[in-house]
Amino acid sequence: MSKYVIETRNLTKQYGAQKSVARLNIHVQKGRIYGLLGRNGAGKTTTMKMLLGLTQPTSGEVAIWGKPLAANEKKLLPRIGSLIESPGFYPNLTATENLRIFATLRGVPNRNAIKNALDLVGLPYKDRKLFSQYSLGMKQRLAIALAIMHDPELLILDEPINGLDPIGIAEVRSFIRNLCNERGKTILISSHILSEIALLADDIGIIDHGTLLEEESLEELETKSSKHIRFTVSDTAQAARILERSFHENQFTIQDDHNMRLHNLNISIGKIVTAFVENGLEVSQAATSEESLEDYFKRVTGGEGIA
Amino acid sequence: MYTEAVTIIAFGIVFVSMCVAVLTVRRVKKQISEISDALEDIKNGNGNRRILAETHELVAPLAYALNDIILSYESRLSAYHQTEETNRQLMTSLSHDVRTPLTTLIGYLDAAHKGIVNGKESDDYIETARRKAHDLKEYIDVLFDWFKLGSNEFSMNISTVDLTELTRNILIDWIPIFEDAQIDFVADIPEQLFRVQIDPDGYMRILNNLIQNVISHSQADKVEIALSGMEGNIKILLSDNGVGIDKEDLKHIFERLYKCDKGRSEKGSGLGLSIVHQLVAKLNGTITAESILGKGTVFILLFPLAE
Repeated sequence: MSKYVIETRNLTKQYGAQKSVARLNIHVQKGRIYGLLGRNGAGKTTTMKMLLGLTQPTSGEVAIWGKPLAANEKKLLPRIGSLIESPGFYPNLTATENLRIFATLRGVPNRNAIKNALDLVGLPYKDRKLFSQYSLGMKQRLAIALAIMHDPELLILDEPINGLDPIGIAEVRSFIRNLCNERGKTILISSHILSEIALLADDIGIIDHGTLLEEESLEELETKSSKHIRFTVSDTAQAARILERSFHENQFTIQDDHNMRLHNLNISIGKIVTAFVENGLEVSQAATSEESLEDYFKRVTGGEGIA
Repeated sequence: MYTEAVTIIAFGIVFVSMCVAVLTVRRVKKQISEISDALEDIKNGNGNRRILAETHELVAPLAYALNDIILSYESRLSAYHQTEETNRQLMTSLSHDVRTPLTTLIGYLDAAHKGIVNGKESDDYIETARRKAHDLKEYIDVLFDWFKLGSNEFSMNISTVDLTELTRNILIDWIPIFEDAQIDFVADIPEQLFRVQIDPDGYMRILNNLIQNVISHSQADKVEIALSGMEGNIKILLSDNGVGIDKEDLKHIFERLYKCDKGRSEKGSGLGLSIVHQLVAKLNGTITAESILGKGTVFILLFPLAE
């Protein structure tokens, strides 16, 4: 079995002369949340549409669970739940009636699937309110209910928090997190809001002008963007003692015999290095890293920033 | 004429029902092949896979029953993965939380050993190293408790005891520590028997961990403990006038490895309150916390009184 739930190889979509998505290679791992981060028009929705067979790629291919999507759509698509733009609900029917139509068309995993899905997103079951009377937030909730009704293994959600109020956003966020943590689902979400992705995703792909700029786990990104001074010295034990004795500093972590990090940036590196050298230590590296996540994204997207 | 018409109609009916039969068999065959595919996938460890069926279909009851079994399999699988993930996190944090103080400790001992310092300063170094060794041992003890609780190897010796007497005995050892830390300590323990079925050692750990937590993190200068009866329970209140706990943090304080201050401070394993929480549950009690930022925190313990 393939290591990745979704893998794309040089996925490209060209509209006329303009490349909307260019040679994109993303890798979504099982049981993790992958956040596709990019500004409006970066190519997020087009990518997701190609992952669902809604748009044919100009070139390149999509593999889902290790199988090429193009040849296996009928087998693969029922195992995916998706939310892309707004689904076609009938305005003159209620939420329950709308879901029942989709349940008949697609099949469901159990008898209470419709009620369960509505419960999960916080909409009433068998309510008499028509879809046309729904607020934007309620419509969005219903669209999420539709995406999860058949209890899919993989969820592809395009900007799932659009149109929700702050409480709704928090609810949907923890709900998505639970699907992944407690149920082991694989989830691909897109957003143009950095903080949202940082709160939710395990892995992040940054997409700009149709190309993937970075693909990394949030853990790695946070280490990269944490504020600290990195030291490489001949003996971290002595270095630690000097920091405690001469600088009364204990906010440090020791990686191994030679590498350590100081988490307090208010001390001058020069003074520390001098103290180390005076005590007979060799210092081969001392570097400050104080780039925030925002700074980092600004840099990789070429200064324009995202959030 | 008449018989001819009847014959034609009869043939018609036979033909139509045969067509229906053939189509049904074909449809069911296809679904059975889909179900076998899904089961093969599930057999290989994919607990997220579901079998979809429309509610009125022939195979629906079978598919739904299978889904129920798969769901219980999935939840066991995901519980297992969660434990695995926690252990992984613990290993990572362990390697930092042990390595940093241990390396620092070695730094002091090496300096004394190599004669970098001597006389009174050398003694001072050895004293610092000794203190750090004790802190480290304390940390390892906590860790050991936590592992034992997680693997259900924590042995409980339940007996009926008077909780007021037991609480008094535990608090006696804390009085000098409160004095050292310049914390005002008030105990409100009524002269009344509160018989509870409890493991005295477990109760002691709960109280000790809670008090230690208050001393290490609350920055309070007043701590109060009060016992009272409440609807068949004994209520133990531990309140402080310290910094309090943020609303967001309060939801998570009983989770393992959750630390309110995100910086890696020297002390604190992130396990103390999680151990308390697990112990209380094992002793059929409940624990909750209320807090106002800047005003203080109250921990509320409830244990059922013995008949």
